[in-house]
Amino acid sequence: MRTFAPAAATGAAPTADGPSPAWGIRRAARLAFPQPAALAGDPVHTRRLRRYLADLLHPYGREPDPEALGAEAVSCEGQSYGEMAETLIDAIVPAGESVDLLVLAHSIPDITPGRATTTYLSHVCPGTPMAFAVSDQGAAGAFTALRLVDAYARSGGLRRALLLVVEQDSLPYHPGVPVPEVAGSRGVALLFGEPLPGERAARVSRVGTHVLPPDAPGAALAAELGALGGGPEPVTAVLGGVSTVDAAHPRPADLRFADAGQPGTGVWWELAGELAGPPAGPRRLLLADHDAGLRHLSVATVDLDGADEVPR
Amino acid sequence: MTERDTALPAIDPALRERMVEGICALLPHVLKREVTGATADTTLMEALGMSSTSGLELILELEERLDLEISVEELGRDDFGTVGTLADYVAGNLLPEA
Amino acid sequence: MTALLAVADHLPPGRVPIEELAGEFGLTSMQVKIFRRYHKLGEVARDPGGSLLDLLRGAVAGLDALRGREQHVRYVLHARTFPTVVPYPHNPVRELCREFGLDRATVFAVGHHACASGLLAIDVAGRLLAADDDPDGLALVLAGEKAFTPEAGMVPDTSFFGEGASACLVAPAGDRDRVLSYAADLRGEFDSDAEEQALEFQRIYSDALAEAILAAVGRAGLTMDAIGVILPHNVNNVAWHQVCRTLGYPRERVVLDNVATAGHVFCADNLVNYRTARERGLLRPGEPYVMAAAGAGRGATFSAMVLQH
Repeated sequence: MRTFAPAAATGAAPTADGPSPAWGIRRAARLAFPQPAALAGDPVHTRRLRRYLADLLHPYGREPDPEALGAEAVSCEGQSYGEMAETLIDAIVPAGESVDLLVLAHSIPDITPGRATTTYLSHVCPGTPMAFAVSDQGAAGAFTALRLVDAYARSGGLRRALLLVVEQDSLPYHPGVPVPEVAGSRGVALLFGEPLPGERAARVSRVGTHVLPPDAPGAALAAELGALGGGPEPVTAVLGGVSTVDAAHPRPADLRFADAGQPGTGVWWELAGELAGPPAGPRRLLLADHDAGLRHLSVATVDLDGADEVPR
Repeated sequence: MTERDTALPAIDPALRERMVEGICALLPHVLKREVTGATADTTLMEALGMSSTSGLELILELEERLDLEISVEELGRDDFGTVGTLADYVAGNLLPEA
Repeated sequence: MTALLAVADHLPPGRVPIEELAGEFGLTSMQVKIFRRYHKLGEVARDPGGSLLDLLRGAVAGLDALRGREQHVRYVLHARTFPTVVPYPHNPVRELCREFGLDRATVFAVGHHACASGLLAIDVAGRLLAADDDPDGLALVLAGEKAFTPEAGMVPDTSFFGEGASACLVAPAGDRDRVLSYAADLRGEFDSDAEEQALEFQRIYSDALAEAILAAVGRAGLTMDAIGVILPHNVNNVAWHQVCRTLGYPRERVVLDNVATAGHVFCADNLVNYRTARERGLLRPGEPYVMAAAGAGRGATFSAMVLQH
């Protein structure tokens, strides 16, 4: 059982049990899942999935792809976010530690579209965390989830948090509108908390999603890069869904482009890679993820190895 | 706190016995399997594995079998403890014939 | 403190008696009798030709407080009992935002708490708004779904789903209705097809719901005596009567009017029942009340929220 008092009104003093300034990302994990889920081979589940999807598609005048999920199918392709997340939890939560909050962000649905996956994850994650999912917001969903991790740490007293960003590569129907292609099932886990002695957490700030006017994201992206401030530490912009043209910018930032085959997890995959690498001195990452379909530009700033402590 | 009066009217033992017999006779039909040796003390959920739906079905079947009407307003989970507690409930909640 | 500025709901005019659904779900006449007699389920709201967008639009259209405030709506959340209710990447909630001029808003779905996701969404919305430091910011929380597939048509031995929707405008602060506390009990151990787990779930259901209510009431610094009314989810009368026995709370103060005439409207019940409570004069200014819901969708969640009218 978890109980909460509502968030204090804006402008009120931070609560006594909010996180310390050192709070941030303690650990990161990233995993690829090249095989289908174990559940994908279950005939009972496959029949159930087919019925669910057929009924889901019916009002749109469509049906599941007979080759991918025909009426006689006994197995399917694709991954289960429950299975993926369970593996990520095992990889990232240190032995003996507990988690207070788990937020799962995804866009493309998995092969268990009717399942309350995060409630199951709460059961298997140490600490029986408060848990919920954020979806139907394209690439921006992960940034909304990140904002919620921060918000629940500040106003809800849940400081040990796990953010899971996942996507899987199978869609057994033709939706009738363009969808970004996912090259493989992947997941990224970020563990938030107060750093232990000897640890340093990466501080996250300026998380938000811009709803763009109907033109290219170049202007908004330029504004974000420009706003990073003239600190001495090097800045790397990790860009998702952004072409080199849109990224062209007078400010000399190191630009890195996330894998185009990972529309949901790309920038997070890069972040996890940075966090897992050896300390390379104070530096700042700007994550900027552009979802062309929704016309959103989502951003987050991550300070690594004490960049937030560098005097300005 | 319960919603019942603390002083219940005394239940006619013969009526209660009739209810116990009626319930025991219906157990195989409701549970869809053979049931032997059931008595007033047999626990419905633990010993017989009865679900709450089967329990409700039992009451409806009892009504039909014994040609009675049973008020279900006060029916609670505790009444499904044993055959006996259920018989107590039924005997104490019969509606008068219209 | 998170506040609900305005609440609206929409039930389509169509009704289907549960006897008609019996065939579709393979129910015996005895099972239907049990539902009528004990669970007090009778007919469920259905909108046969209508879409999810139609249901949600109906609710938002009734939200008078939204007019003139559209540009302040930063977030639109759809709370779902079933995590996936439209084929990706279609998104009727975004279409709805275009219709109502909510162009500034970011739109997303929140859930995995089954029918308790509506309460989750209110808490989530409140925390996002508080973190924005914009006292004029608003969030629109929507609930409601179609009974589009048998899994979303009935819960075996328990309830029938009704089609409808609710909408509420959430603010980071306000006089009424203020959120005082929120409790959520996630029971992922019930994510299983095993019959033993299903029986165990039935056994603990009312107790778990009562515990969530007590936890929320306690967190608000109150006792059950102070609670004017409970706005339940419309699962059925049997469960709620048992909850009342456990809590020692008078069942007359649980708004169960809509169980028989609308059915279990996914995550929207609490606010449908809010309207009924207002119509019946059961909500008194300054008096605390409870909204509570529970659900199972491969894993169970029991939640309650205390508010002040």
